[in-house]
Amino acid sequence: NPYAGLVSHLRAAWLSGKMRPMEYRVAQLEALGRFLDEKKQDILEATALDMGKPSFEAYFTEILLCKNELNSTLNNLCHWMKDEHVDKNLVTQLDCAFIRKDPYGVVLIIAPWNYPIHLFLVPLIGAIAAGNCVVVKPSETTKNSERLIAEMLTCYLDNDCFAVVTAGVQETTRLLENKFDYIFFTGIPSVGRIVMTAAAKHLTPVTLELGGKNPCYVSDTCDVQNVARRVAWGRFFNAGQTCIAPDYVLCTVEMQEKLMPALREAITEFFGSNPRESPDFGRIVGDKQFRRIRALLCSGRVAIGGQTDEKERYIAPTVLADVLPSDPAMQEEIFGPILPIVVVANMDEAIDFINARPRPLAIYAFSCDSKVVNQVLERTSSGGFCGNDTLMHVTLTSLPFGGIGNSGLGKYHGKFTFDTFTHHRGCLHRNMGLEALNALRYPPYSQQKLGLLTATFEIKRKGMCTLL
Amino acid sequence: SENPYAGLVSRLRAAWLSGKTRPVEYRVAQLEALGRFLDEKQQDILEATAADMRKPFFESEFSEVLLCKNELHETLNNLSHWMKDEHVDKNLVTRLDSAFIRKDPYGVVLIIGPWNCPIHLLLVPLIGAIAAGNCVVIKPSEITKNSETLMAEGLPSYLDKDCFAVVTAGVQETTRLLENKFDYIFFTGNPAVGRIVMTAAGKLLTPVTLELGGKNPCYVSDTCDVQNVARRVAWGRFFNAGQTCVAPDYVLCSVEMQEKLLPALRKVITEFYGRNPQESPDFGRIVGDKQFQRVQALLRSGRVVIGGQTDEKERYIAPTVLVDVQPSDPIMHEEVFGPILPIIIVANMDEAIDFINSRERPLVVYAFSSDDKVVNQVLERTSSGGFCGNDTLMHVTLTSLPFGGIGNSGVGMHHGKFTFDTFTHHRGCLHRGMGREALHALRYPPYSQQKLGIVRVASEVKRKDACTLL
Repeated sequence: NPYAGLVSHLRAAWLSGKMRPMEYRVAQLEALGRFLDEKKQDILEATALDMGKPSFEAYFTEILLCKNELNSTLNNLCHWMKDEHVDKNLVTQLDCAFIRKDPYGVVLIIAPWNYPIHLFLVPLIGAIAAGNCVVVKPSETTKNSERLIAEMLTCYLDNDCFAVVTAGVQETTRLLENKFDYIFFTGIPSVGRIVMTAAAKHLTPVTLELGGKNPCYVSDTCDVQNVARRVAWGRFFNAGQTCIAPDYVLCTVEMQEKLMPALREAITEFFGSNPRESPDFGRIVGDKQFRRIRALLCSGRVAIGGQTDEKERYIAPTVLADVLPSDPAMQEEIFGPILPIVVVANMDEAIDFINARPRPLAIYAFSCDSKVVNQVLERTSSGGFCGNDTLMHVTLTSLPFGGIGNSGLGKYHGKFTFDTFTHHRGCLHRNMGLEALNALRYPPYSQQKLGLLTATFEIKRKGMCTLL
Repeated sequence: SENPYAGLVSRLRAAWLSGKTRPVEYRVAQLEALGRFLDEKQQDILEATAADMRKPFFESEFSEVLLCKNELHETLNNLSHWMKDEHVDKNLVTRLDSAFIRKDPYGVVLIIGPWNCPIHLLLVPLIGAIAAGNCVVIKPSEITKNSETLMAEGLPSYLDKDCFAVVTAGVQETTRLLENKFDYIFFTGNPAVGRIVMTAAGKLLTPVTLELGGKNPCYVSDTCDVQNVARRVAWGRFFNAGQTCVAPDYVLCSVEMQEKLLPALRKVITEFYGRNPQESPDFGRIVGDKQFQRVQALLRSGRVVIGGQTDEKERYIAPTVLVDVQPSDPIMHEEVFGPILPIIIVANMDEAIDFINSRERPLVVYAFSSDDKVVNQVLERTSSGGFCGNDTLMHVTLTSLPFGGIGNSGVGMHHGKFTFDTFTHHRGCLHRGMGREALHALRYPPYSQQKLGIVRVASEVKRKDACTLL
């Protein structure tokens, strides 16, 4: 196997215990911080070349959000690393009982192309913080970012413990034949299945950050212009290539009538009357993806936008009206700047529509009435949820980010990333003496011993409490 | 052909979608019903496990009843607290919003239980699955027939049949069961079957917890109270006739310690079971003929110094200690899972640690020493599911400690709140205001350096001063 040598090299480094001390991890994390500072311009240029990403968007998502995760981790690492002492019972009262935070060992991070820096760096921060050695596999689709990561990261991180592998589909399959101690994958569900099946052969735990069609319910009671702006922002950011973008809108036919001019106005506010000339609107990452998304335009009727330019891989910010569940745009995750509107009679119908489909990464609900937002939250199931806005829930490092069902398994961001890459080892350290305390448990057994043992071990039911 | 379990699974899924399992009162009622099952069927549980593997009543009452009731009470005492939305820290931008973690059930979950502790190892995950609001398919082991029948007939009388079902199935039917989409699979058993379960789960992107096994090393340093060590190790090894996933599997010690340990072990075994353990009511039997033959074959390793007697008719294997065991011997190639304790000689602690680290990571590492530094060294320089210094088995009786494996010994953890968390989807939620649009204006195109500067200041997390690890 072409990667066997690399993996065993990293495993030897891990067994040496090199990355256990906090000082080592802090040094590596600070090096990542310097990478983000010193290579900022290179990152903005690489993502601009790869997919026409506006530098504002690249700075915000690929640099600022990463630095937030880095600083949040550095600010809290020594606290997170500490043994967590736990409640003891009568029998263990004099013992030491705690949860030791152990690294898994050698972990693999496979990143996608849509946010090529952020989506490998944020997991990497947690993996390093937790004391692991890491193999990073950036996406081969965004060539400039891939090259930047492959060339630059090795200059900043300890090459004994961290490696970048550039690999296409074939080589990644061979990479996955090796035993890793954790695999963190971000990408599409079909590849997620392949990764988890490969992981199963080695009993390797996984986190899969996948995708889906994120519904966006807009109730009749809302500030239409605000809603239009927030939904358009979420949909057209990065030219729609965001796993948590609102994928389609569910609303009444009356709301569709109001939303359309509001969306038209928001799009013009954002990108001018010809978005193709706006420096603030991105492009589709590749020809294959461009053709896939363009084909989705034959759904419902184009109410806004619809223009495309194959040479530039430009697809205009587009809104489709009167889309049917059987239309192409409703058969797959759009991952492009097209917003279909599907008409429903009311909130109940919207909820049924959502629940009849695979569980998405995010559900959005817009309403001035908090009860409506809470109903949608309560009666649906999704990775995450945001009421009255889009995308924002993933910018808080204190909220777990992850999918459910087809949209993924596991969660990360903030401490959740550290916990993802940490084995929580239950530890009990007892006394060599005090043998009398143990006498009750030994044979020869007797009812009397059992009675006394029960008294020392049992947890009693307390009085009822009420859910506040 | 139609999957034989498809109807059952869709029935349970419909029940879940109805929202029936969401209210705390419903979950409490189901959990209290489980409590009544443990109380009212206690005698049946003791008799079933005695019939299945001659489990002594003391052992089954402790492990199959008491420990389950502890988990039940711990859960009932804390459920409303665990279920609550957890409000989280917000940044400047989200200061006025509601940001919280919602505890959602996964939906329809599958729990596959093993045979060695057939009630406990099904019920403890079940408690967490119910507490978290899921519907559950329960698949007890087909090897312990009396326990299987007790659960298949008993549980449906206590639990809501709309939301909970017991499936009795052998290998073939379990394979078909696994073709259905579950929202979580909790499996306890051996690593080979663990791979099969995870592969089946991988096809459907189903998250899993796998509680597997391995060879749990037990390092005994030269500085210890030999008699106490012998008692604690023998207890852990011979409990349930050795059929415990967290039993000490083999001892590592110096040749001098072995010389002291052997008479101490001999004395302890006699203390526990008398001079002829086959006549003791406090020593169990091997669960089945196939398992008996497997364990008996391991006796051809090293040299028998204590025990070694077997009786095929009773599936009795005496409490046995082997010395002069080589890493190449049969007993060092698989988890023993029987009442045989091999002793392997190592020169010192470093050699013991290297021995442990060159093998698959076990469910638990044990270390005995009067010197805390030695215990801490072994803990620090090895990797395992769990760890216990100066005793065996006890770390899994504390509901506040997570129980789970690593590497070949498993994926995920449970017990206490960790079981509730295992079966809960932690859903990150943000609820913002419909108005206050001015706060959002900075993020919208057309972009500008000025806007970016303000956005940065409003959302950045700054590095605080360095802190030291206490």
